[in-house]
Amino acid sequence: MTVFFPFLFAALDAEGDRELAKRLQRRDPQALAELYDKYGRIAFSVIVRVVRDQGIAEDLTQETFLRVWNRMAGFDAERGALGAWVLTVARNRAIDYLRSVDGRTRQNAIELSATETPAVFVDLEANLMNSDRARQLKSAFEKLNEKQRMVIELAYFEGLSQTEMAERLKQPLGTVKTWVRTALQILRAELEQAVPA
Amino acid sequence: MSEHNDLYELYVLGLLEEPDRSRIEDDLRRNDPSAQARLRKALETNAILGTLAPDVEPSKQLRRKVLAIAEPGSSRAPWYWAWAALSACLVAGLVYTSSERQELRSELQSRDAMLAFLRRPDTRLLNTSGGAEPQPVAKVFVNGSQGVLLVAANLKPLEAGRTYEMWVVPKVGGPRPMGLFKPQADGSAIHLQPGPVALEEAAAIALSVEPEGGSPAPTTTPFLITPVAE
Repeated sequence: MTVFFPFLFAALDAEGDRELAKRLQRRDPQALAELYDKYGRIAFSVIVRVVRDQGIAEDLTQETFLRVWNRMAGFDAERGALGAWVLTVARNRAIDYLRSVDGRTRQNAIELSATETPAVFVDLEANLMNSDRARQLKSAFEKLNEKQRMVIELAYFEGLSQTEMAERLKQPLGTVKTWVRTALQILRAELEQAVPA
Repeated sequence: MSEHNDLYELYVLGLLEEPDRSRIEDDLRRNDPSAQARLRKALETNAILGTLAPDVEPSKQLRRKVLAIAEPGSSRAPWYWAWAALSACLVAGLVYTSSERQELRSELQSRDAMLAFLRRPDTRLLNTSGGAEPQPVAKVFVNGSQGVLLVAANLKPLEAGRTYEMWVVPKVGGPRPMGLFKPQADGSAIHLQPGPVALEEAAAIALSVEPEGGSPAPTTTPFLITPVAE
């Protein structure tokens, strides 16, 4: 079951995040409190969904904010998308944890680190996680069939590659690739419709 | 449209396999505007996917723990020092130009190697003494099968043509070179010398200042001598 974060969306605004990012870069402790109040719950929820243990999720959430705090110097306060970055760091911490527990090694772990580099998160859509786009995603997600939903969840929340999904689901790799590609096309198309011109 | 263009979301999740991954990276290296746009869209989509997670309220203690991060002198995880230093090694941005991306990849590979080293359960932390003067300090992590990782601070600036060299001092015989490094402007440094180390034969890890290019044996008095205790 998927639940949304109405409390979050009201608080999200690009201008506010710009100022917040600048204060974080000045090492303002109150700014860290505001960052946590804004994104802590959703980051924690993502991590819980991945690791399925609230105690571990608390540790990983703490690690997420420590990492963000320590890497703020590399974040572009004017053009950056703070929420997207925090969520990506949170998701990556959780997937890293899963991989360490599973003993899963991955050749493309470099890309996982690279894509949470703060400077990557520039020029994204303003108000990225605003309610319209999030609702649109929920709507799009519900349009996916069961298999398409499953592969998206396996990728995002379990960190499985297409090959690993095929093994997990005991399906041919080509079939899984089709499910993934089709699912992403549907989600992308729906989200693009939600973007204001 | 090429099939890999549909897979940027997997790429930014770190899940895309070859050959699609290389195709995307090739497009990004060429600064292809459409590739850059797909990358941004994928980052957006993935961020919004996070909102699909069921809402779970964290404990109030978690907020206090997170806020403690910003408190001066707060207690942190034992690995904090090394993690923070490693983080400082990252360049500010991931900019998809060929040369910068290559440089970034190299730095990330180096950093990942260090993190992998630290995460190994058989990596041990040795105690370091900087001598009477509380100037240079270091933490030295050793792993018999993986190598030695030095995380140092307060290192003195080097004169032109000089470098720091790390040594393994064996119980018998002369020091063996363990790689060269130069500190950051603030005196901090991280140096990983990968590869097996005969820890049972090692008495200490040490540093010395050497001519550029290094020396086969120390030419100045070693310092930050860290015993390799069993």
